[in-house]
Amino acid sequence: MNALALSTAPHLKAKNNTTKIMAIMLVALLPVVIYSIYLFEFNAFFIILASVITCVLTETTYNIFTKKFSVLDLSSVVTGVIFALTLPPTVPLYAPIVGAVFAVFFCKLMFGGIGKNIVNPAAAARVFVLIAFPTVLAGNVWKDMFNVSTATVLPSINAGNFASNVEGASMLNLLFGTHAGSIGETCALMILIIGIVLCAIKFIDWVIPVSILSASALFALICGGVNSILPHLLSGGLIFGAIFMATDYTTSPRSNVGKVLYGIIIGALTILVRIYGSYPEGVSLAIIFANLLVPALNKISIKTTMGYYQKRKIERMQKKELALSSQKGGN
Amino acid sequence: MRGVKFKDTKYLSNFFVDEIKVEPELVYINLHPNTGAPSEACVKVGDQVKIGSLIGKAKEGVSINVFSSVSGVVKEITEFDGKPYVIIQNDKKNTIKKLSPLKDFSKENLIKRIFDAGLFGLSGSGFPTHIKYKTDKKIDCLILNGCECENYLTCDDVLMKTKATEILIGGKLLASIFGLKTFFVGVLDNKKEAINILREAASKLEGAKAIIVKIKTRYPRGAEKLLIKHITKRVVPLGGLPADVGVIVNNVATAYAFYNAAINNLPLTDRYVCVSGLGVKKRGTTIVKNGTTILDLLEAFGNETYDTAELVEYSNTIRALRDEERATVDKNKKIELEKKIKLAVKKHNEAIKGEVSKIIIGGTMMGVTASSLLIPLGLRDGGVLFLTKNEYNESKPSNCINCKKCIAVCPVRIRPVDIAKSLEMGDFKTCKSLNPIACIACGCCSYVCPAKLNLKDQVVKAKRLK
Ligand code: SF4
Ligand code: SF4
Repeated sequence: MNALALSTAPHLKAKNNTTKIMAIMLVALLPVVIYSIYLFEFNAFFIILASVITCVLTETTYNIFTKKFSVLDLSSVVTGVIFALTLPPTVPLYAPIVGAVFAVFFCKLMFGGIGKNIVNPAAAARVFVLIAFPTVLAGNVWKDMFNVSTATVLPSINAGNFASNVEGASMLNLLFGTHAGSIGETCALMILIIGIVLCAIKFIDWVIPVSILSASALFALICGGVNSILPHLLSGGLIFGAIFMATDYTTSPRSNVGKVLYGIIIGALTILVRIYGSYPEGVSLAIIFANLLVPALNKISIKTTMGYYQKRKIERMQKKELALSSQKGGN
Repeated sequence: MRGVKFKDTKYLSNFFVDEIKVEPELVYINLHPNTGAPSEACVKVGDQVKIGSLIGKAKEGVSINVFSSVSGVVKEITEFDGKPYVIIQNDKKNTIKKLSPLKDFSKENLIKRIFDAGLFGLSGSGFPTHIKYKTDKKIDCLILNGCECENYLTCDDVLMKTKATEILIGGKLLASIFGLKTFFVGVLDNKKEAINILREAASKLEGAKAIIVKIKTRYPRGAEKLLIKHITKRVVPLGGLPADVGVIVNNVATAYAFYNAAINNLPLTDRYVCVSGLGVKKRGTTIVKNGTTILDLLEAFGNETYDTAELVEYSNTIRALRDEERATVDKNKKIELEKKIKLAVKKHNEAIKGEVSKIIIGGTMMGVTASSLLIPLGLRDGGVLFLTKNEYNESKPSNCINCKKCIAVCPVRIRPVDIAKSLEMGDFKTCKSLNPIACIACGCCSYVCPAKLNLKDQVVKAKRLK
């Protein structure tokens, strides 16, 4: 054996890796998880647990068959937690289980594992269970909980009588999460703070959430007037989606222009689906749709290469000179 | 912020070690250390040479003169790895042959002296210096690069600390070629001592003004184009040269070599080299002759974890076998000897027990790994690192998770991940439109990638696409 290791430069690498990134994500999600367990008690706890365990088991089984161990990178745990947090606290446990298998197996592993998926697994699974089990997600199963009859306050905004119908959900309730909603999307204020921290440490890119939120505010203003801006922003998991789902590394665009467009598409679609569509929840649908556009969005970028514009300028000047000299020659 | 920051590793070797003298038995002098054409050997086997005797004559165009770094007898003229080498047996008498003194410091004389003394980019670029100065563009700014942003390396740091005045005089002479009265020296602020010494020397400098620019420490601040942008606010056009914006950048080591050439009439035969890494017991920076092997350095710097005697024995066997192999004409015997050499090299490498598991020539970000201790150092190599297992990390590449960290870190603002992906898909047109040509091969993208992908290699590959 050769005693000296050979490699190409750089020989030193930063200490971070995929697993660490996923661990940071889990830490960021932890307050949301804890608060949701505090709010919805065992309901939330079991849903999250079922979802996470199913995700991990799915990936492990797949790993055993393919003999390539990828489950240790924690990405399936993150998917499991995020997916569970988008569900209402009253769903029967089979919904998170089926959804988790769908998320990990069909949305991630089938595409070639982490980094290769096209749509956000959690968002796709959320839409999948919405379509597969419409009664448990959109029905009025848990009326007595907060005196609100659907997953979020949104249907009442749609009906145009937001203030009169929603007794449990004042603006303050929306902000602190003490209203009916999905497990994790309840406390808008906390999610917002987490989001700001994540942006500050450059863990996620601020461009995406900011453009999503401003685009949806704008569209809410156009379609529903000033009074509907805040309820739209604070409810229905918009902030949760903007911070935890739309910023998912793999399924968001790489160029800055792409990021802005991606945010605008998600924001606009969310509001449009909410107001004119038949599903109250637009966020997951909008995210999936925008995910599909990412390969195209990646192509739109502004050249920032150092010296590129200087080179173009020189080329332009040379052309001009050439044109001038040929003119002179003609005369 | 673009670029990356390292833990401080320079303290390991940022001092001059007086007591250690590296006096190799044999030197292996590369006749093609530069970019451009190799020089032509102008000595024969058996010729007597002195320190500073011309052994490789520059060809037409981009080429340099190469000088003997020891006094002794030419033992062999041969080829390793496709590069021409002259092997000289050192008689350890250290007799010196100087260049003829300069009559005056006129522009032509100085440029001629740069050429005569065989100066070329000592920071790793290897670009012949005289070509830079033969430009017909208008130059209004000279920058001496003393940034040394690479991890571990301290050769320029120590040089600035010990030879500040000489560097500044060299800089003054270089500036005078273009009639400039001021020039800049860029130094990173992790070299506080060097900055102070340089500032003091600058205040005493007569005939020109040296402005010492303190730059915030970050890798790769010392890259030519980034340094120009930092100091002059000018941006070198893509694919262009610093001369296009009226700037010339030289390494401080080159300025020092020029001082030696112009004032002391000594051609370029040695340089400051740092020996660092936790794998050696003694560390530090010292003057090393061109063509010294890593083994000679290791012998001089010593190490309890090695059985140096055993290593020397092995390498002597290898040398003897190589000699024999070259002498034989018989093909079969040659093959047999080659096998023997391979076996000996293997044994020799196994003898490097201890903790060292990687030897790097250069810094950890841009250096190359050495496959054996018999590799000679050239004038471009500012350091040899003997790294232990804990000092570098090796990890298997996994899937790109599209985290965009490589885009955020790239100092020249290209998009490594996009380039790598389009290269992988064979979409060369898109790949080229992403300007991989701007890449300075700094390695930051590979450094930050959480999936541990070797992005730099991909981008450099894309750069070479026609
Ligand atoms: S692409 Fe080139 S210049 Fe950019 S970070 Fe990678 S190696 Fe450095
Ligand atoms: S740093 Fe690595 S994982 Fe992140 S986008 Fe670049 S190539 Fe992909």
